[in-house]
Amino acid sequence: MSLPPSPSALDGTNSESTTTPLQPQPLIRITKTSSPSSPRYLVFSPADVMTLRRTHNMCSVLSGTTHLAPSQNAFLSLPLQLMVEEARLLLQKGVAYVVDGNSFHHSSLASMSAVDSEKRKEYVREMRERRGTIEFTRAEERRKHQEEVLRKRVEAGKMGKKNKGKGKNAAAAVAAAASKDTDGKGDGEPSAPPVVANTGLGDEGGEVSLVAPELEPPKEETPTPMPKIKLKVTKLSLTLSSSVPEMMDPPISSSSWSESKSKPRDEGGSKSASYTALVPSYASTSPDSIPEPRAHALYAYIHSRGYFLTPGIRFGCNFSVYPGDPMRFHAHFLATSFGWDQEISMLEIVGPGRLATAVKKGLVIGGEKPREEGDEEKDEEPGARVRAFSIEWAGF
Amino acid sequence: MSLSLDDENDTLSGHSAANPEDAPANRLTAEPEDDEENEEHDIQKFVSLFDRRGVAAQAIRRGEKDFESHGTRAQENILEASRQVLEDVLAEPRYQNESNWTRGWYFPDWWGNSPLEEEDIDLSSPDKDAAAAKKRGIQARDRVVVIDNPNSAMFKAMGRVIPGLGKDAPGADKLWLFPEEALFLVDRGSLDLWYPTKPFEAMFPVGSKPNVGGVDDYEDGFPLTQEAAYALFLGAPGERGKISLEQFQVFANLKRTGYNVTRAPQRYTPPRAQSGATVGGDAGRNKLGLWAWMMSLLFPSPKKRPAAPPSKTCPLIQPGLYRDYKTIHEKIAIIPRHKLTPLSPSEPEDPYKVLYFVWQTGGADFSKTHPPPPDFYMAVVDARQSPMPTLDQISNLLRTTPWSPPREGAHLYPRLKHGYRHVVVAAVDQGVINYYRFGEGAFEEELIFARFDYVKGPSGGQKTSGRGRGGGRGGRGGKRGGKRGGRR
Repeated sequence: MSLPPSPSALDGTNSESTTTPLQPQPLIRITKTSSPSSPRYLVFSPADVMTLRRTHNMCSVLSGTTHLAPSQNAFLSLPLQLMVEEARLLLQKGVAYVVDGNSFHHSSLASMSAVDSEKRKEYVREMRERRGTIEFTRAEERRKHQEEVLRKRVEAGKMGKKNKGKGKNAAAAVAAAASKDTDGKGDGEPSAPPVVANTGLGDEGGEVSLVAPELEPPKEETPTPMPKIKLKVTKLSLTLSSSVPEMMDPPISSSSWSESKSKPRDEGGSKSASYTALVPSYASTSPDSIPEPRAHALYAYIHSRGYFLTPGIRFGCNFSVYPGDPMRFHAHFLATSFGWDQEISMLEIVGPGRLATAVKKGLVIGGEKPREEGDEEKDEEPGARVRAFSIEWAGF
Repeated sequence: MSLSLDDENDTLSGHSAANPEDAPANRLTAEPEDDEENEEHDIQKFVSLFDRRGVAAQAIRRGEKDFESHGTRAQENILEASRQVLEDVLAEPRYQNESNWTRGWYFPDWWGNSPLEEEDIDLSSPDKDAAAAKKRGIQARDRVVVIDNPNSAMFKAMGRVIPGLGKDAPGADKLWLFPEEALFLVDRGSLDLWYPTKPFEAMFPVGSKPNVGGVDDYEDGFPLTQEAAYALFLGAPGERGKISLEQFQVFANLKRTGYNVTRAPQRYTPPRAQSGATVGGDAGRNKLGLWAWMMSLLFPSPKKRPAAPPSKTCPLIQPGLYRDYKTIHEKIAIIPRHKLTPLSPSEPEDPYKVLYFVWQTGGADFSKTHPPPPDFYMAVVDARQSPMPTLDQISNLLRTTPWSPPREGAHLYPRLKHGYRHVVVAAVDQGVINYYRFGEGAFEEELIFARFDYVKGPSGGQKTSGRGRGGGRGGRGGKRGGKRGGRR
């Protein structure tokens, strides 16, 4: 049988036609880690992860701890671990590049170690700026929260007591309490004098206080004036997820790639020639830098029909096949790859076949027809020579 | 290998369940994976639990996954909303407040020349030699991150100072982390990992406080990204100061679930069995009641295996008076069988080697310096590259786990499932982990004929047997407990 295109492949949401081919797209950055003999491919940029999911139908496996909720395994976070098949396919499509994480970081760190290294100064500047932004937003959020608490308490107090003078006093007391409550060791005073905003850039001197412009006494006819809350900025340490561009590794864009796309895919010479100028030595855009895994062709074939694939270990197969984003859909197939001339014992089909049927999925087996000797190396999509079959437990 | 003795009819009986998609899956896959699959679409609800960015304002949608895309805008919107939430979560920066800030410095070679712990560590008597016990599990060579301000609760179970070097050894009084510990803490936003630009001695002078700056002081070094941490810490299995991605993922998965995990020492002697545990189904039958004792005087039963028949040609069962089947069965049991014994450890090899000791939480506080005997022994393999272990590999692996016979008086199936030694193998396929329990089952120890004609069980009566500690896939066995209880 030939696998029908996934229903979701037919609507426009995830097809690549939505992205205008003329606009240069930044290539997805894949970091190669672990040992050189069995490399692993990770993605550290949230934007790249979402591009993979939205544009390239790859959800892969989020494998890191979600720092916002670190004590659970159901929702994981960066880094995204690509299957080897996925990394290779992305390079074959020319939408990603692979950075050798080890050599890149070692050379990068070595050059940043020097005290007067320009790169390091730049990095530190970038860090300070980002920290400053986050510090400011956090402080603002905290203050908003405090104001909210305060407003509620004041209103509650107003309802209770009609005496305005007392209400005002109560409000002031509540304000002090609120800032203590929410701010841990907060020593915020209500109605602090306004201080000039400072993003924390290069400032070494303790706390920076800010009062945002909108912190005027509310104009509604509230009889009790809202006490001001001091914006208290606490310093933060920050761990960025991706080393781009913070470690001065410029992202690679596909501008030159779309120009050279008209050329036949297999004429690697011309394509890589246009790359060499752009791609630094620790990065690679050549699909052959990733050894072809056994099930690659089957992966490429099923993926080309618009399906999402995930590692199949939960069901003892190569891949679980989803008709759309696994966030919304159950898997439809369990897929296993076989060699073209490989003899398959019936028993190898019975177990997976029964399992697949029992969990309301189809068992797909497939293999790639080898190139025939006389064949010219045609320009063909990965997985074009795959034939696949779906097997169901007949249940007579 | 985990034994599944149930007949397979159970497998398909869930077909008519109200929710056919879920019910059979529950039976066939381990629970955690199933949860993961089914809950994934609930990410919005999940996010709302801890949200700080106003995402909670979005509708919390709970509901079934769809069968397939039907091209409606409603469906697209739901998906897009979920993706947006995911993106927000992924983009949320990792930061710590200065007040409870924890920083680690990457010094990969500081202990690089420290000798490997060659001595064999005996896990059963940690108190015998206090000095040796202190060094247990240090493996300084692999510790690559030093903490300058250990003020996180995470360090109750992670990180060690380096004992036995005296006060003048620089760095020995600091807390040092394994790569997997450091990487896990970076991942969960609890550790700010810095790359030093000054020599170690300048930053950590002997006998005084660390000479390092604050959050905003980039003189001594600079913070690393999460990506850099992965690049620096990941390596081949067994590489000094590194960890393979699979090994790390298993570590993190267990830590997130709440287990305490430490690296197993290079060499160790597993704890010995508790006294009283014996091999075989005859256990517990030595205590005779008064009546039985008197009967045994009248009809002495041979304790030892009866001698072989006088010649090769005569019948196995000599003519005579037999009062029970047992005597007869024992006479015809002439095929020699493998005898399980508590052996001394031999050297297992990667990847079928115990990498982690794992403790369940609960009960007393976990002490990283004086841990109790581990609850689980765990090896980690790459599902794509490592085939099933050979007999040698699995026996060597099992020999590094303690002799742990099944509970006395337990019923037959639980006994078989529990086995006499067991080890957990975590198989990782491109980031997805499955745990398997390999137990050394002992069919030959369960004398079926001994149960053939007895009236009352050896002990415990109607008590249904519990699952073993690591019960593995005992779930289905458990459901059939009723049947088993009735067998007598």
